[in-house]
Amino acid sequence: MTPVAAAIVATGQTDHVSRRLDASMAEIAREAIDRCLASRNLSFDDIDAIVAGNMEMFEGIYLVDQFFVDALGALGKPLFKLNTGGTVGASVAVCCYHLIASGRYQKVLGVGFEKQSDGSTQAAITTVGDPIWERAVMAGAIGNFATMASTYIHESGVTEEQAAKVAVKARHNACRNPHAHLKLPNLTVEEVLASEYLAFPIHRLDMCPSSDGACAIVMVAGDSADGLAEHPAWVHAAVTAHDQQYMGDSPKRLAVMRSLRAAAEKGYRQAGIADPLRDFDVAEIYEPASYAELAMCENLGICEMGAGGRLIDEGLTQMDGPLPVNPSGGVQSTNPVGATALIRVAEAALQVMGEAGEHQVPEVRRALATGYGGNAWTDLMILSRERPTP
Amino acid sequence: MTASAAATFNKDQAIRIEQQITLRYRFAAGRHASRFFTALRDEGRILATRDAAGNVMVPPRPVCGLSSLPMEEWVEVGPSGTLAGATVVYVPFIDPMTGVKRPVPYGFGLIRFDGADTNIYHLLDETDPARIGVGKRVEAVFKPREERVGSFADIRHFRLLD
Amino acid sequence: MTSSPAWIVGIGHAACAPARDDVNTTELAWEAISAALDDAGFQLGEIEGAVTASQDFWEGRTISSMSVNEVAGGTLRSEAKVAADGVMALLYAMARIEDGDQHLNLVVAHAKESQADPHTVELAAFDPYYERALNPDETVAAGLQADLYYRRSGLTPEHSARVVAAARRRSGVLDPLSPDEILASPITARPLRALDRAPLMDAATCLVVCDEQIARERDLPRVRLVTGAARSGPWWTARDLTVAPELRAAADEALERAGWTPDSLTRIELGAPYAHQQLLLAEALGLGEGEALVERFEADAGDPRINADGGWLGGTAGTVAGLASAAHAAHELRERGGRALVHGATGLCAQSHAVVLLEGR
Repeated sequence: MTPVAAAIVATGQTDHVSRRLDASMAEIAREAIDRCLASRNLSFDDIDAIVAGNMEMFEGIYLVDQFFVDALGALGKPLFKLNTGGTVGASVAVCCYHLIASGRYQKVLGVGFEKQSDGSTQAAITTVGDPIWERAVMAGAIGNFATMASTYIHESGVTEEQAAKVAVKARHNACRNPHAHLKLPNLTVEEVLASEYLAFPIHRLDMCPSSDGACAIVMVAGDSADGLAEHPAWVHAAVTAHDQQYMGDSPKRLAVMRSLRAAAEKGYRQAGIADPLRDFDVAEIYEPASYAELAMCENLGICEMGAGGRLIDEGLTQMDGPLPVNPSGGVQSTNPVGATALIRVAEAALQVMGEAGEHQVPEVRRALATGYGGNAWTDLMILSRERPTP
Repeated sequence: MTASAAATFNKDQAIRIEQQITLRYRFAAGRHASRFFTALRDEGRILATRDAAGNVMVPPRPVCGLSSLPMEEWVEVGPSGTLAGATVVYVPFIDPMTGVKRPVPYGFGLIRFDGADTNIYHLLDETDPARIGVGKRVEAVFKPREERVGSFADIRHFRLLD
Repeated sequence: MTSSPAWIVGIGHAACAPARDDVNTTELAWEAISAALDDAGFQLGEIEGAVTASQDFWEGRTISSMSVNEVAGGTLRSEAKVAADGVMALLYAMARIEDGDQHLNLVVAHAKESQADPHTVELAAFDPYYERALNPDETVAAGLQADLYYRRSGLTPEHSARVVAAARRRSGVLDPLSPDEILASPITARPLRALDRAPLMDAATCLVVCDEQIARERDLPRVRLVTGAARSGPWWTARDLTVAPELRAAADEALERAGWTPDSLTRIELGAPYAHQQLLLAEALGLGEGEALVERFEADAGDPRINADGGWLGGTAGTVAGLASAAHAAHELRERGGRALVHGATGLCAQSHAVVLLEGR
């Protein structure tokens, strides 16, 4: 089987903020789409299919894709609606890939959007818990994450200070990303450590914000790519891996991320990645909090298991390091759930296309993007300047 | 909205429509949960399912995703266990069962029941971060029989054994 | 490129009923999945991944696919999900096999309509700015549509009742009803009566799908997933509710790609919950009009037969309906051969459409 080669040739994002009072969710979705299409002088006439991601229970709009048919430019076209949680934006990109790789469609628009300020985020997050098994005893996203992080800390010995360095890196990087939500140019490790504990040992400044935002990509089949972008971001791997069903099933959930390891193993094999630290030039990793970035780097093989603390201490993932992680500022800086994982893919694509502006990493050939969410689920994409060989 | 329109938008004139929808559900617990919660409510016992490969899963379930084998055997686990993760929560969160914010601080953790291969999240009867940690031994504290209804909250919390 | 055709090699349904209080969502889905695996002769451990379909609002859970993720073979494997009718899940599953990424997958659609409050769930589908204050639900919109459709087409509630009766007669799940009994059921939103709509149910359907190589190696009875297409329609207040040009366009696209003429079809499945919707969709496909069209719904012979196992009106749930119809069609096709067009709809008043073409050897 030779799949049709696929490449991302255009991206667009809104400027992510905590509240967009000036626009409805349909309007912010459309804003990202318009920016994306306009960047290559594309119109909806060029689009064959649309894939949309949004966690509709957040805003309380059932069948949101049907309501947004005009905003998404989907009239008369196929529209695939996904809602896989935190991973949904990357699931959108993966779906775009399959629609093209199968030969069915030539130009696919992928969009992720969330207007968290419109809804009751806490109420929706409560429904993440299984109604029969888990909802009776929940401590919210923070309690859940802090518990996971404690396992990781126990396994790796990562300190609060090392985590704080990750938080500082993210918000400093965000300053060079016009779309990022939390830009904190003067943030220091001390300030992170001084911010109050949300749940021990997670400080407020370790955690991601809640954002209103949208992101769009156009992915095209090989023959169309070269005319549209000087350096298309070719898809070399698009992998999904999930875990078991309940929140406590994965025994060392963050410390040993089974789905991330499984997805990386398959994706690296497909894309010919032998040593991620050496073979990738940039990574956009879905890190809901500072500690998560280090745990994920370990599980991605960017460093050895247990060596996440040393990774940040040695600066290997800083903008001037051998593998910059999250030049965009990452999830710690911007988090509109329906879009967040697509932003990872879009930012990775911008890096490969050479269009990341002030946060461009020099000479990017290969980029990694990951999505995280659900019960420790993973979506993983590998993008490259080189067209994949059949 | 175009960039220029956004720039001139007057936030004081923004309309936000308040709306509340109450979604009611009646969830069938199903076979595994019915058996589990009956044992928990009536006998204060924790049950799990086991497959032919020896995987023991709590909550019990029809199939183990790791082995892809049916989980046909029922076994008892706990009530003591080991912490696999733990925290103290300082930010109030609305308890889905009461609709009211749970008072802070409270302990929360991942507990591996003795005999099980998976963890469950639950409350800890400890709010000093120095006293909790991975590997600590804990024990389920059950509500009195007359207060148990067939829910994970029939366990009030877990207490540290040392 | 070279592409691998995709095949249906296993079919399974959970026992569907108005309220399956004996099982939760996980167990309901597992019932359908294990039936399909048994049918195909595979173990869950051989499954490489899955595409599922469910709606969070009906399930009462955000990321509702978490409830079936483990039983659907998603652990450490490639599990995807669409929030739409099951035919859309089938289209996605086809793409993943055709591009060579997946070789043996499950396609699972599930819903427990007994667990939710239909009015409130459906209310949440309406425009929050302009429509919700009127407290509408799907029945209200469908009632408006039925009124408009009867005026345009000249068909009547009596004709719809005959369509429902035909579905009930063929159903393996619901008891037969006469048109008179349907016309005697309570009015819900004039001109609609309660029995004009498929009853709410708890249902799950699973298909085992695979690539050419596995299908041949195992030499299984199989049905080819030839091709598919989908089209989104306009918002319900922005269109003529009595016609379905998007369905026609999707069907035409699929038939053209397959190189089939419409009259080579032996079976058509139209997935909509109301009888009047099925009639108008059938009109959109050029299957006839008026009395002659209704007679086609009632006919047990002649090509193509419409909803030969009763379709949605014969007993299944929303989200599951299109996949259940695909399963019924596949069941017949693998025994007797033939060609089927299977349709599933998503959205108010059947706003958006997906079709898949199946061929039995």
